[in-house]
Amino acid sequence: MTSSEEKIRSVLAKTVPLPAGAGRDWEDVLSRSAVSTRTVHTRRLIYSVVSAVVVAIVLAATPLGAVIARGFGDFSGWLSGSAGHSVSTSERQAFEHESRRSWVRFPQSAKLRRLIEVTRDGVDYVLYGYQAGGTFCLRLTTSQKASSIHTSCGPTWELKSRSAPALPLDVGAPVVGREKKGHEIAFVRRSSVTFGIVSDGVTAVRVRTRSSDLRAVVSGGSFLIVNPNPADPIRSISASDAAGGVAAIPFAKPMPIPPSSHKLGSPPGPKKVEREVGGVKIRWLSRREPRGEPWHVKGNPTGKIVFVRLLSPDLGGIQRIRVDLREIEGKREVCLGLVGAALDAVGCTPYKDFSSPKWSLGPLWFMESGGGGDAGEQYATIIGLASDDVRRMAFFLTSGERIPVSFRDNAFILQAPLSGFPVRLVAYDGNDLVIGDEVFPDPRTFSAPVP
Amino acid sequence: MKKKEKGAELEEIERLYRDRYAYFVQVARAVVGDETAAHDAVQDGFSRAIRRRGSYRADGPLEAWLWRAVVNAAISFRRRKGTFDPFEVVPALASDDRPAGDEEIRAWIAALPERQRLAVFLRYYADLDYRAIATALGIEIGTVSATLNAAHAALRVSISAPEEVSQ
Repeated sequence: MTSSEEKIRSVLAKTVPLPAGAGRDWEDVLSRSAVSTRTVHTRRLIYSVVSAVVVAIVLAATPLGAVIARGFGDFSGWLSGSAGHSVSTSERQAFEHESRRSWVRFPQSAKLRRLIEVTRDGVDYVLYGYQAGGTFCLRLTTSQKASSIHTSCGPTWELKSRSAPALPLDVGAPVVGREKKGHEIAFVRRSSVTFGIVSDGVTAVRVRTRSSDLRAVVSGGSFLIVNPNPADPIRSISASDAAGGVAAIPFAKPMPIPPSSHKLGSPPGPKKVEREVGGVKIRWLSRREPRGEPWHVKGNPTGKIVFVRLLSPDLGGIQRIRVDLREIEGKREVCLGLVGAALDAVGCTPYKDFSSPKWSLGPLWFMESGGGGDAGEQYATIIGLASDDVRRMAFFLTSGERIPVSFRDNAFILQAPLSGFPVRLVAYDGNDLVIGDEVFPDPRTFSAPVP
Repeated sequence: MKKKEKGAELEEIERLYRDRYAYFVQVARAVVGDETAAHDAVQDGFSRAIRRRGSYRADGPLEAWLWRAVVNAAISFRRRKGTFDPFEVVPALASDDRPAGDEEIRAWIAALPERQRLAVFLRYYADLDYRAIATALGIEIGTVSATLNAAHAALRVSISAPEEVSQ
């Protein structure tokens, strides 16, 4: 166990003591399990309402939305890289310094733009934007020392195909402050922020929460809303133009663990594997050929890393993929991770399973990183590896949209809007036969014995 | 090939309830915010599990399947109840009790996105392995690993102590 794991266990044990068990009541469980039919129906209704909300989000992004959006112009400011104002050299250097602590790297080639500056309740908020490869990012910094920097990114293909005139990247992200109470320092949520980009014709963005109606600052092709009551969840977002046209803006409400994603619809796509391919076989990896770039593992990784490379499926992009082979307790594992400037999220699997004909994902291995949860991010990143048999890949959202995928050196990466989940991943061989077809998240996980 | 046994025994569910009740309540509390609602979520999760115990396929640990039931019940409760301040879930430490860095870890856990917070609780509080966490949260094992690594990465930034999470 690493020292940080020990620390976490120790802090949880100290701060979240186990209750004495006084509330334990097995008889109550048994009596609840024999609930009346009426109660069961009520609960089903709750799930139906949840599904209906998600369906409503998806419908708002259909071609009908595109007709509405045309009056609002397009995202030309973002497509041309001219949104907002350029920054001074010193501001850029300060930003680069801060980026070392951020989830998403700031590429040297990217142009940094200052979009919005605003002060609310004594706290300064500055929204920056930049683009690289197939990704654009917004980063919000605040003068609230305890708060983390919020960086959220989206794929640039959305700028050309998005039907709605605004594209939220983070909805309801918390801004945390420190408060001294006697000898204690308490961390409190000061506010929540919602930010994103707008098309050229948008003059106002409004957010409705349960108890208030908030107006965003709109500037530099972007919008920013500071909600002084972070416990008050966002119900709806709308954008309007100078002529008084109003459009509802789709966004994904926090949906950290879909309880029944099979009810959220099924993404289109071939749905039939035409040639069975078992296991992920990657010749350059097994021969340890130096594809991509070298990568120096920092810290104390689990096991002994014997080979590691950094791959860039999206050339010049912000996010990259790290692949390594390592020995853990005498067994060979293959590990995959999304790489930012200072942070990386790594998942590993036994190499013999990964390359075996019995591998459950056919010629693919993938994982989700980022997005979801109550942080309010609107996009999830899916990264993965595909076998040498795979020549091209396609990804489909439940809304019917097809998402471009960056695929190079057997590694792939894509960003998908959470409002379009689940997503279907389809892999084709050199004869254009379907050899891989996976829905993510796996519907079997949700349709099987979900109690 | 021997066919897998289907269904869960009521006695086994009761044993896990009695043995692990306190852990179920505290992890549910990480979702719903207070202990009363967490108790309700545990009761409701177990009652659902009993009703559906015939669909348990024994292709994973029963405890993980029950965790899934409790987590789902807690999320349903939270949706009805609305949001809460996760900083209440991990209360401040008394100053006498607080070695350097502990307050940062407490704040870090509280500020995590819900799925990461749940994964941290299931791993380091309920002592579940990756497979059981994957079943409990309805995600792939690789995603559990990535989620915990992301959580650790965030912690590394908070306390500037670089290292990777072990499995």
